Amino acid sequence: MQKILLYTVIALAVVQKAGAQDLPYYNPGNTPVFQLRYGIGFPLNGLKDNVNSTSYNGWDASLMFPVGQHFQVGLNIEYQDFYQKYPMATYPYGDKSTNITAVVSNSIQNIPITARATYKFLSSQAAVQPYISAGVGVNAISYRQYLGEFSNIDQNNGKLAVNGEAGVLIPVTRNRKFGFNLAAEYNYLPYNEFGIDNLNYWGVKGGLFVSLR
Amino acid sequence: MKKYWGLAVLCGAALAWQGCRKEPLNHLSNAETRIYITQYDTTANFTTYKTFSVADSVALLINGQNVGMELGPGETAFIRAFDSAMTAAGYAQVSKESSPDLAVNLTHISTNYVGVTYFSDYGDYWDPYYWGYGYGYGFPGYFSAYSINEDALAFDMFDLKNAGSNKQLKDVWSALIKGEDIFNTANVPAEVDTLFAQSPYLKM
Repeated sequence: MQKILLYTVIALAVVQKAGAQDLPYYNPGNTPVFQLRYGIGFPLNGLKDNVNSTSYNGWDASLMFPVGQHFQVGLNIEYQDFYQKYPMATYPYGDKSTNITAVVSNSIQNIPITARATYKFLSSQAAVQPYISAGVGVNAISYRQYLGEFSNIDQNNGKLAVNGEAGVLIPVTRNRKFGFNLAAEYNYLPYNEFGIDNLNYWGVKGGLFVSLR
Repeated sequence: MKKYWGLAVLCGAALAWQGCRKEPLNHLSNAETRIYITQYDTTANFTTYKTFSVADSVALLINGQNVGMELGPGETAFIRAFDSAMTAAGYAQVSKESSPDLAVNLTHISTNYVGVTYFSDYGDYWDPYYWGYGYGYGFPGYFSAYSINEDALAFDMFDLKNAGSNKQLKDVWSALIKGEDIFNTANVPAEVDTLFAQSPYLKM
């Protein structure tokens, strides 16, 4: 309920801001765009070996600046929380004479912060604006593992982040300043710690965009 | 663009609020907090032992200091459960005077962590005027001590059968249980069963 209330407040605030500047000759293609989206993450490869459940706890925000009619460049920060609790099981530890029985909980947070470039196939006046986007930057990682209630791993790292995205912008106001965004994204996130090659995941995103002038 | 700072702050707050990670420790039942560790001597042949005896009380170790023996309901339950599990594994329980092949000691390890934390904003809640002091006076921050107690139970199984020839008491099997509520008598049988389940070699 709290979440719904929060989303409603944000949506109303954005609509109010957007509607307040309804200029007749406004061209949204020339203004910075702020975007905020909710994200669902699906683990792949090395991440899936440690957390194989879908993450419903993710967000990203971006600020993009236009370069001509079709290109945008800017900054994106993303957050995706992966968590999984495995049922109690017995694991060999160290040499083969030691066994540990415990519930293992893995908690991994990926926070890719990337410089992004976007190409929009149609103009900013189109009713539906498909685009592709790519980014490169740093993935701030927090990896924690618990055996029962006892911490086994607690490490923060900064690693490479590369991501690609395809989606559509759907303006909903007459001046095209405000609208919805739907996208699918792939994150390539090398890790190479604790025998885990990578923390790759793909995700779907949905949220709002607003032109800032 | 400045006019959108409020919006950005609102969105940032939403991110911070929703972006909080799922805290693993908040999603564990008491049973799930526990961890069971066993280790054995790979040179020991557990089929060669026939009899065992468990100590009649539990040594209490507080912050690394041996403070004596204890025998509360939890300790008693552990001794009984261990007797039952060993008997079920095929070993015969005998008194310690009957020269058992295996002797089992139990140790309650209690560790107390004490920390001190500092709160700097107490002064906002109390007014020096209340005590008759006015302008220029103020309350300092406050220190508060906290204490966390962590309990564990250790088992050590010594080889008495070969003690004479080896000139030493060899610890052929050891185990440790840590976590919440481990001394609750209702939990004890399942905890001991878990130790034996992960030690299949412990059988005649």
